[in-house]
Amino acid sequence: MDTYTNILKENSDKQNFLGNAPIYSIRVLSNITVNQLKDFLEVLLRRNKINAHITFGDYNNIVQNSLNSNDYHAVIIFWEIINVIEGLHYRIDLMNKKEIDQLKKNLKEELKLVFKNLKTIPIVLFNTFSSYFVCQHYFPSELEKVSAELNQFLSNNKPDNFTIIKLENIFSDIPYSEIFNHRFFYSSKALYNIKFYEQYSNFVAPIFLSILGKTKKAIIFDCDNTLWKGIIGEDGIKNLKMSKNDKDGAIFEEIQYLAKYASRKGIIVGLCSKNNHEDIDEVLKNHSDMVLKNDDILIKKVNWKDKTTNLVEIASELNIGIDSLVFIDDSEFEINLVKQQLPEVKTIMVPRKLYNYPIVFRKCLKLFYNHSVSEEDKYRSKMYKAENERSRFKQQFQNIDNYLKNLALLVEVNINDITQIARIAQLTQKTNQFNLTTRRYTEKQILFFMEDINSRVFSFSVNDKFGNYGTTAVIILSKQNSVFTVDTFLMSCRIIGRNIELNIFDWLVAYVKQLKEDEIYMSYIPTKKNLQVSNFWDQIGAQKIYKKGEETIYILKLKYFSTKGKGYITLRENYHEKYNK
Amino acid sequence: MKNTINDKVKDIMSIVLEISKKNIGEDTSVSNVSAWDSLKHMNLIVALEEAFEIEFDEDQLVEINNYKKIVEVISLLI
Repeated sequence: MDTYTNILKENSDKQNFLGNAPIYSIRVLSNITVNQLKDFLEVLLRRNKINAHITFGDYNNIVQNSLNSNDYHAVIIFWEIINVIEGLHYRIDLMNKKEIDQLKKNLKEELKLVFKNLKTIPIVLFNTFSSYFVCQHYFPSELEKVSAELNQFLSNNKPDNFTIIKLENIFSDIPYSEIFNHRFFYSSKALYNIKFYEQYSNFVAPIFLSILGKTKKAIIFDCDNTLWKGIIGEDGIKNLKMSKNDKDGAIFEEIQYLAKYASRKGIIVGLCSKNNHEDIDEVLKNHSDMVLKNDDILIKKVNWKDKTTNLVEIASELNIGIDSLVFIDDSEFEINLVKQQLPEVKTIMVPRKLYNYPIVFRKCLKLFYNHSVSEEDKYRSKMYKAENERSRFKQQFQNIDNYLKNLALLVEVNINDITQIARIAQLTQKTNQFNLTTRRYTEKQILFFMEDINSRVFSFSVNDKFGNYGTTAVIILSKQNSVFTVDTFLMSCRIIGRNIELNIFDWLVAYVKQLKEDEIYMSYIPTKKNLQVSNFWDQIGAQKIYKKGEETIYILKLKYFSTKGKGYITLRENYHEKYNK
Repeated sequence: MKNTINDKVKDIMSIVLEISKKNIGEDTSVSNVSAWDSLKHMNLIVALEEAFEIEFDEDQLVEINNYKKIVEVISLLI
């Protein structure tokens, strides 16, 4: 573990390094002192290039502070039941029913106010009420009962932008004596030890990473002693252990179950192993104890090349960033090589004490936290698989246009389709490459655009002869100073390289023309990952007019626009326009 | 021994209180470091206790409000 001093130092170095990067502001509202949370959480986000700045509301002033917290990107709330009235944790057992009912009633009223005041914040993390501080009873204490009732109220009444953080899940990782700081609680109302803040930060950081499009997407396994006990080349295929009939095998069976479940949830599972290709194929196909099958594994690099080369190829073939990969291996050599050459890849070493492997792996799965879980996640792996078939089909054609002509591409446009909100928000959060402005939105914000008379949200779903890619492109159009502006234009990497963007844009121009407008504004905001679209507006024929910081603003005079779409793509409109504008 | 304590304390104070190490001397105290408030004092205690593997008692917590005293108390405890 890093020492507290090292955390403080690293955090201050990272702050200098990030310098003027856009700030992600987090406000913490609390009725106890929690200032040590700041450095632990900031450093985790800053390690992922998020320039997080955490500030604190006034001590024990949650309700009033919730009124003036509207300018923050996120709010975290520590509302500790033991301090809603000073000394409640020992006084409550002598309170009569009337007093307790009154207390609950007051708290629920306050909670409702906080819900109302914070419902426009993109994300609010609200910790559960917990009586763990005094949980020494055989029977539920009054404090426990009140906490349970308030937690029920919380989950029944919270607005959608509130995410509940179950404190017990964090406590369970820490010995009781290291969670609470009794010394500072009695002197300064500082309830927790730094060990708690470390674990809390680990627990909530993936939520912010997911919202900001930095979530992990693929988990890549080595094979020998990582998916099974034993080495094919030394022990032979028959002697590999991965079933509960063997002490060590049981651990690997559990790992394979977890990996298979992950792949069903839409996490990409791949292999990167120094072995003979035929041997691994043989194990996958014919080893009776294998839980993971060919169908669960999206990509395989089984060869004698070095692992970093293979991982780079994996990222490029899957069309995802190298920082979206998690790599698991039992060899210290391989892990260190990857750490050194590809520091963006999260590496996990199979623990020497094998019984710790499932715990380590479950922790790793938290990195794949996905803030908006949409129906499509379940099919994502399936869709990536169809993509691989498409690649094979592609090799049969010399000319890319000939290839695309044979795909029978069909694009369907939906306008302000509220059934798509979760997916649209998720696309804004996750799409990095074909994304002209990289603005991240929550479901709430998307709904706001749909309801706003001055804006429209277009979502595009794409089909071809191999199957349905689902909703994979989004345009948000919004009227600013009486001119239509393309606030967002993004396409998932699944459909890049098919010229679909050209047809989509032709359609948009026609749509805007029909509203009797004669120009559109658009902009490009560079990020590390969206270089491929840096010239997109130039290609469309728009004119640069000025730069505002990093952002380049363009204008397109519609009467000079010539269509650029391809004849082999069919575009169809579905009318879902719920809000008549 | 004393020198390593001095140096380590200065390192920690400079990081926690966000002041330059070379400006820390005998007379550096709560009264002349503006960032050294009660919250930072708590952070300083946590950092020092962790680094030296010690625990200050109640009286010491209040006493150690200047560099000189910090070094003195830590020398007693380790």
